[in-house]
Amino acid sequence: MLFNSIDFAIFLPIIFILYWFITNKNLKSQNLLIVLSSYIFYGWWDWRFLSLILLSTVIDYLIGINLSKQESQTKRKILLWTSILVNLGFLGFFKYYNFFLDNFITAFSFFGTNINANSLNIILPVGISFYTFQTLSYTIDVYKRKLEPTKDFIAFSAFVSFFPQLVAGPIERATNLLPQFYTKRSFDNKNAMIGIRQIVWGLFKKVVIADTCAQYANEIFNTYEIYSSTTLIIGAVCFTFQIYCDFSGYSDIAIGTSRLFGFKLMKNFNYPYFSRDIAEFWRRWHISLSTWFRDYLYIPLGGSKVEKYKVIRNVFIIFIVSGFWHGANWTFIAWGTLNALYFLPSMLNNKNRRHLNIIAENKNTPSLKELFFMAKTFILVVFAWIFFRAENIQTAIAYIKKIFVFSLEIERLRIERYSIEIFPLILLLIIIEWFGRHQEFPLLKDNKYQFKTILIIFFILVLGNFSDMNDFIYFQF
Amino acid sequence: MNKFLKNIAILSIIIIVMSILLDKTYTYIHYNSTARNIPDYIMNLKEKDSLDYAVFGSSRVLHNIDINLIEQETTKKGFNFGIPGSSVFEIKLSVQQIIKRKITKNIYIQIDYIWNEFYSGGECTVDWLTYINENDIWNEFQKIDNNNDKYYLYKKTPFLRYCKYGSKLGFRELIMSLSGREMNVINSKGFVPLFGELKNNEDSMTYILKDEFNPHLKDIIELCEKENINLYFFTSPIYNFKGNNKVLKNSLPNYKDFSNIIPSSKYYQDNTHLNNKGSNYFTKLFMNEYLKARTHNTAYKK
Repeated sequence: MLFNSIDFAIFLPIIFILYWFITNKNLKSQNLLIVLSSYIFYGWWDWRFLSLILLSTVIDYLIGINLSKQESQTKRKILLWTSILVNLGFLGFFKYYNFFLDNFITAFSFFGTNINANSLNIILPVGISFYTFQTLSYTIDVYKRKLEPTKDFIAFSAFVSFFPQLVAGPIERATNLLPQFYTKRSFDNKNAMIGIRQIVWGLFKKVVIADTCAQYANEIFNTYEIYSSTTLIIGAVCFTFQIYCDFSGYSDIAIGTSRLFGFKLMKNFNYPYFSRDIAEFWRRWHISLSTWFRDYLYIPLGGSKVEKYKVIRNVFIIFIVSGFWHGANWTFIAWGTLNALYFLPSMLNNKNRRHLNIIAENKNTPSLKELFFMAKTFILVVFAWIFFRAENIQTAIAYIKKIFVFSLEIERLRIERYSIEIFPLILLLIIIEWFGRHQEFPLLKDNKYQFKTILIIFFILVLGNFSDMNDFIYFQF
Repeated sequence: MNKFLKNIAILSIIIIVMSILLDKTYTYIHYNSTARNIPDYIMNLKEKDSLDYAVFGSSRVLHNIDINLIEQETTKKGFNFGIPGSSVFEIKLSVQQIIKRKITKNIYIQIDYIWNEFYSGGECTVDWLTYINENDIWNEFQKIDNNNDKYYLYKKTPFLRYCKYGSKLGFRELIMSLSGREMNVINSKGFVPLFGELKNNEDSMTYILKDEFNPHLKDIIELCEKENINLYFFTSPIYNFKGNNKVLKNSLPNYKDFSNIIPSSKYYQDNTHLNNKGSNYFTKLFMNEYLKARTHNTAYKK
């Protein structure tokens, strides 16, 4: 079920009413309702893959309980690795099987050996990368004794399948989300209204900005051969805003929806395009994934507190794995590697934590220096997104080569129904976000007449793209 | 909770009022500003805009018949109402409105495999949704909406159609319309030439036509008889056509089959569409067949 669909607009109020008016007396029935509604939400897309979520839930639940009973370190390790192998096994099979197979065949044929093996026609279950990482965080935290394993199967199932963030995050830690299923939630009008405003803001980003930018980005990237330098730069910039608004829009809707049910999810984006360097960008972009990799991969590898060559190795590992997490394609690996290269100088010079405050704090406009740093970071990010968006490495390189054949000509795009309104829209987004950058999201505060919210709803109605109903990009990851 | 529900109720009422106002505004602008699609253009036509003839169909009319060329040769005024992707249903909507507005007495309809399309509701139906509250148009929509209430929802829910089909009927098109940016095709009287050439001249084209009479065509024929309109059917050229149009020949009045009349691949963009050379060639054939050889009844011409 898509957040930007009529189905969800009907589904959400029904679950809300059942949750607060029918099951509100009993915590267990509220949790059970969350599990059932989450399974309906997910099954709406393809019910067959519910079995994967259920299996993952049962295995991690049992492993968690056994980990708490087990004192032998060897047996605890075996349990941990069982969970890791099962979860990553599902992920590996559904997401990476064909990629590895194709690359093995290519590699062997390069050395003159032909291998006859056919790719499988595998459908990638929506959100598998997200809920796999979420359940893994539970087992690892229980193993590290940071978290008491739950004995409440319903609460654990609700934690794994919680519908607002099931298919595209934020990837919640068990330490944050699971305890919220143990305590009775009480309805808070203020928090619920903030939730509504966050949903509205997320929808605005998705249907007004992301889906409009998508029209341009798709056309330019799909037929880049016929366009010249400036148009290709516009295409890359459009994709830059498309992916941000698409993904952060989803996160806002997820967090806002959770608020309606009395849950607090972690922040996933923090105005990343106002970053002054790449390190700051990565503290502000897809925070739940970056911190996941930091805590469960980077730090266990030694983080930055090891010899220099190991720091370099660790940085490359975390960025390349992060890239590969997004998809089984060399383009994502190139994107990760490029970001590692961007990040490394500041890391080695101990300058990666230079910009921890909010840009232009207590000011309306940034200084020239801040503007310069922001623009520089933005250009680097845009450049890296070309690899992320391109079909394959060859296309990405060809696209970049064409950009460097400088030309100021902007061709008329072959988009029948759209024209230059994209630029005012992007500018509108930047202005709203700039003045809202001190808050969790720009619509956090509103007056008692909800004037700003109504204005944004007006924009959604008038400028939203509902005809070319697009899936959220991150569903594929 | 009560306060929250009250807030949600107020927001919902505001959204509903906003939707009603936006719906009225959009519809008004579509009716009164520069036409941005063929249905808008048709709905803005008045009796004074009368034509000697009008041609209807899909892209196989749009790209194949050059009205300006005919006007140069015959001085007869016409318009190419071809809409890409049109099925017989959309052709019927156009024809009904043209007849209602007394625009012409001579109607030419391109027909081929679209004979088989009894139910439509595809992409080009969307352009007609603006006018869904017109009784005669709504009657037609009901005929293709037996199994679901999709169009009922579009009619009854304010602004839904403009929201759902924003890229075709919504804000962007409205701004274009208000700023007077007319469709390019109006100057060329509906004709849009293609400039490519057929890549694979081995490809053939075939189709099998149903025996059942297309109900929308039946309606068109009845309406034309009732209104005393000269109605002609034809099939545009098809490269390497292997099928046959016997069903059309046996069923339709004044039918002429041009499907195999241009055999050379150099005149085609693809199997079913002519390029600019082909459209020039075919327009002359069309003109000689219909507009030079016949005397049209021009009763509505001022």
